[in-house]
Amino acid sequence: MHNIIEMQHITKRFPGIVANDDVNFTLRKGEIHALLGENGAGKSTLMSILFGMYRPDEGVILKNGEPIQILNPNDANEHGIGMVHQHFKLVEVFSILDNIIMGAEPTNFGFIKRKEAKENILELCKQYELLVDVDAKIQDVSVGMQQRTEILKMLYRHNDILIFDEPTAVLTPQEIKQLMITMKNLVNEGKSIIFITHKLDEIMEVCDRVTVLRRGKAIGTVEIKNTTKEELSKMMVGRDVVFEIEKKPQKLGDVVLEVNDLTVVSDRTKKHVVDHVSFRVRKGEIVCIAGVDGNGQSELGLVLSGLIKATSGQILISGDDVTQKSIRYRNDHGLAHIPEDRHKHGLILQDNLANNLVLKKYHINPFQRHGIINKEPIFELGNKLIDHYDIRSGQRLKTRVGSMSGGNQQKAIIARELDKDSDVLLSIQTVRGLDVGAVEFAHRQIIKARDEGKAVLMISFELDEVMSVSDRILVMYEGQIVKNVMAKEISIEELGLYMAGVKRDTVFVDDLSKPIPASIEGDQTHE
Amino acid sequence: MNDMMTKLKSKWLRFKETDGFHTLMGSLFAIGVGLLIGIIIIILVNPSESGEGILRLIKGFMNHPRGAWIGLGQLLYRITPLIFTGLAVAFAFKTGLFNIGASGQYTVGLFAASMVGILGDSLGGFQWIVAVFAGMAAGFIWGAVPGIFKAFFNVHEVITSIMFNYIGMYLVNGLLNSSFLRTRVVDGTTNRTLVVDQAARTSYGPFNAIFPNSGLDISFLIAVAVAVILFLVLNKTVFGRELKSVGMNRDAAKYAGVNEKRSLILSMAIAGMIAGLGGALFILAPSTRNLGNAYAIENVILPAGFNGIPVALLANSNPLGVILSTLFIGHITLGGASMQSVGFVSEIVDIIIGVILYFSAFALIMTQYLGKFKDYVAKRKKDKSLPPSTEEVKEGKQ
Repeated sequence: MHNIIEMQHITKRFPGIVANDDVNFTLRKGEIHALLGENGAGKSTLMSILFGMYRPDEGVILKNGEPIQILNPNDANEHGIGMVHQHFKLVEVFSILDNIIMGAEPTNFGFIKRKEAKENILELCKQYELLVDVDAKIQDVSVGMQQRTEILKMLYRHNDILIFDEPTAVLTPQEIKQLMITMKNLVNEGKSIIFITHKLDEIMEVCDRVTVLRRGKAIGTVEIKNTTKEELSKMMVGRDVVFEIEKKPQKLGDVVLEVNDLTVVSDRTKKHVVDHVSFRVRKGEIVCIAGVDGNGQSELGLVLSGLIKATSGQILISGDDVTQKSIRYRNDHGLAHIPEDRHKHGLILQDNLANNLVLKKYHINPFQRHGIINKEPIFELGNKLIDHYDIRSGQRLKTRVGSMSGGNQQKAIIARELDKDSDVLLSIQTVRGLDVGAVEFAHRQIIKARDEGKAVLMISFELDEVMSVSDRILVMYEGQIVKNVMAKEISIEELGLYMAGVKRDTVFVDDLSKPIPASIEGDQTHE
Repeated sequence: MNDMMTKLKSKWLRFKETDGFHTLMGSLFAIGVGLLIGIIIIILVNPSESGEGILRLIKGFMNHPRGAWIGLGQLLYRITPLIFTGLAVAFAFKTGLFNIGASGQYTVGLFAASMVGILGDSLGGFQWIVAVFAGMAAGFIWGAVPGIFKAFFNVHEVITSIMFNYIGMYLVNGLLNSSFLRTRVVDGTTNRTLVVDQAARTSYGPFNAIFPNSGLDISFLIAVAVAVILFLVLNKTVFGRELKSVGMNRDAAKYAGVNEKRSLILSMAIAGMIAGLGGALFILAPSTRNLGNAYAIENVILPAGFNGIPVALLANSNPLGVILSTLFIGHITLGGASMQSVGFVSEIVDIIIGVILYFSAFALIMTQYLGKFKDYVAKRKKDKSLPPSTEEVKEGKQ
């Protein structure tokens, strides 16, 4: 197998940061080659260079041994290089068919030959076993189908070097499995794939080789069959990573978050998205709401934080009924919140890091006095958080948050929320898009918060996270809580049955209204 | 002395690093390009008179027949309303809103102030103050309505504020034509409103002594004060921070606990209030030059509001920058007017302003390129003196 793409001595600098530092990377024909690295290690930059979105400051790119110039994505396309971006580049109101042919429409005297295009696409769908409804509009189809549309876009343009930028971050487990099969089909048909990810299990499953980047440098390229997950993570992070985090025994305190019969009715569908939910969270415990995405967890998170209104029911924080209170009131009275959507809610991307780190505090002393912003304490706080939580950025406090890597953005949110003086931490999809090093870090911080006596309510769609971090698990299915169980007393398989709605505990809500049976608490504290 | 120099120098160095400096440089660059193109057009149109034309364009206010000093006074007088509408647009921009309704807000402010100015005889010495506040209140309401529509019904403020320009203008004209007001406040022969009472006029302040008979009055000082206040509010206060965060990311501001609907409405209302204040001070001016204190009842939207948009854009919405950009635009407009006497059309100035706007939109990109060029030069210099290893560069950057 020969090298179809060689990137030699690539260096790319941005203000304040060297994103790629003398990186060498080769892709063989017919392989799936993973590009592994922490957030901000330079994976996306390297691939953006290959795809023509950035030009390297130094270095050359060879295709089949011949040096090529890639000045823009069109050049890349000419050379057969296609990319599925992490955030899809699709027109929401166009049909899948139109999205696929957009920019490469077959025409007859200026008229689009839709019929011919459709036949071609259906042919491709069959050949690669990609299931899409070509006439459906993008806004109406699932994320998985949108991704398959992106893949078809590349195939339709006869690309044979396919770049997947963190394709699994947005998919459900079933869709991930399907994607893995698709990727294998693609290489069997002679395509070559570059797979950007930081999920080690996926790399071990489908890839042939892996190149690891760390802080802009290529650490090495290894064959998958000669390596292990542990070795890879060590290469990636530069130290040993602990997958299992040790937890101290629980020291349970008072109930600080009390939810009674909470209901949210969707404006649009009139469905009970959160359906008479009741539970308690005590100081010193991590309660995790598990469930398949779309069973009302997002809405539960939003209603607890105050971003949407409850239709009925009650939310109490430290005995204080906050159901009708404003978001600011909740923020100031003991609620910290790591939101599900960090770009929409968590950060002001155009603003700098200092302002984002003080986003929930600038209105209180000493960050302001008599309505006038006080810069010194804001900078002090910012510097403290940056150092303590290892938030990496080009220009520290002055960095525009939008220019930071996703992982460091998330770190900034985690830093802000954990630093907040609060009794309850509501953390939703805490580690989405984070690499193993950062995941370990985030989980350690959350467990530390629990040991310091905060009540933690996590909402997570990832079972690994649910099992490794939580003390107690609540399973949510179709807006209702169908299981309340200590994490140690349930297996992943059984949990899956509750999540899928196969099993459910009937008398559940009544159970929850009572305090947790003393025996369970006792067991926990004595461990 | 030396101390002060080093202090000034360090201040200057710090200022050079700020975003404000980069914007200023970008705007100056755009102005240079705009003037260059204007000069080329002047030369192409009429080569023989071009020398005089260019001179007059550049001299601007200094063309005044009574000399540059009085010309300066007249320039300040002319630009004062524009500062207000420019601020009204700029303030809204800073909070993420496009206030295209400054004309309507200006008109209702002008109307409310002149009604108090004509009919409020019983107010005595307070008449002008009440008139000013009436204008501000009218503008406030006219700005708030598009804000309310945006906050509660998600109707884009551009659409509502354009419509409110027309609604404001027709409402004012309609009211003036009503049987009650027609007989009391309108001069039937000129179809203009009556001149406001003497007691309702603002004061010349010190300006009649400084710039005799230029028309300049204290509203210029008020305009500068408003610009300074807006600058401080936006950059130094919690309130301003909240307005700006709503502009940058409404959802995140809401998440952070900002009452985003209230902020949005207040942003638009304050912008409207500033425009309304501009209209009020315009109509209450003590000088009758340019018929400043009578409103012509025509079905035309007053251009003052729209002219605020280029001013705000050129200033990159910085309230203090608005003063500078109005000064410049006022200056070349006067230059353009004076060019007419040597056979050029004053519309050349509009072309220049248009070109400047185009380029100031690219200002940020251009400052980036300038920055890169500077880096390149600096690197070349450094390379010659001591070539750094790549290792060093990286260490420094991290």
